[in-house]
Amino acid sequence: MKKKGTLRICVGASAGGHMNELLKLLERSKSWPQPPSFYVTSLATMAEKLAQLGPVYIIGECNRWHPLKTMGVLLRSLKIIIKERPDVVITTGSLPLAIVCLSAKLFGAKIVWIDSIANIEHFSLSGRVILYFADLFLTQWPELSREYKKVEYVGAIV
Amino acid sequence: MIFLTVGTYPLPFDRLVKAIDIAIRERLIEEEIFAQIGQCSYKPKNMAYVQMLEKEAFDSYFQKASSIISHAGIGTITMALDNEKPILVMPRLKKYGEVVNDHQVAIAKRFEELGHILVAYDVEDLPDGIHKLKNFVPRKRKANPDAVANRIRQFLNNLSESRKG
Repeated sequence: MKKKGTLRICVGASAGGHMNELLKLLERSKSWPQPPSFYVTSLATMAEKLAQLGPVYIIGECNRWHPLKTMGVLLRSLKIIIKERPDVVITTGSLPLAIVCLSAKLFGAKIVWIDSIANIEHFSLSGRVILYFADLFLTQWPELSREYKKVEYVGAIV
Repeated sequence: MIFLTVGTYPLPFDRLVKAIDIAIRERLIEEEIFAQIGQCSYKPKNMAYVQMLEKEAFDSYFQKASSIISHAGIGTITMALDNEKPILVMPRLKKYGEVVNDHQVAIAKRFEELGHILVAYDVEDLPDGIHKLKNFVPRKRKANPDAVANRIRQFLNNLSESRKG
């Protein structure tokens, strides 16, 4: 049985820039109360790198123009969340990981969303949706944090 | 070697790959080029290329390269800055079906203003960009990943405390 106060941490990011940001963050995560329990990403190209850290799940790519792919990502996300039951999901985006966040939220997990450095002038659609559900929402541009009460800026990862 | 990449983005970016292929043929680029062309349907004739590299192979090409030419993807740009590689970017544009919105233009503009990158906003700007790339010294970027990791640690500690109840 899990010790009280011990967190099951899920971290994830889509392949590409989002993953670069996540890996950079993880290099600085030694002081977190627990290491991540498992990792989620969108493409198998990232699996090898992440497998050095812990268990990895690949959920596939999707975007808002492909409802079928998006549905596939949702089903895979729910399956992973039901199996792993994380207490918190920490992600640098994008849409496939927003779907993981929402799936996890359904089962009571907290969401930590670090909005990508790519969003300079406004948040992506995923970011705007997650803003309602996130328990901690960080941006990497100070200008964006001034526009929303809930959004914090403490610095940029990259 | 110059490393050309259009990122992992799930849409093609033939405009850049084709323009660079032609620039090699016309001897605007003398240096050897290696390309990761992603979803492009245009197949280069004048340079070595692959569709997609594993992350570790990608990193290795990136580090070996003297400079980078790429789409204006944030991952590639920040990686170039981290590795102090001169980089020339061309933003993917929505009007050509290369991307779902024009966020890469905003990225290119902001990082160009900060002195970090060279930008070709369209194919006709590429020859000038290629010329400047040889002697371009990017301004270093000051990020603070520790501050972000510490803020998350604080959140996790609070969550952990509340669960001990």
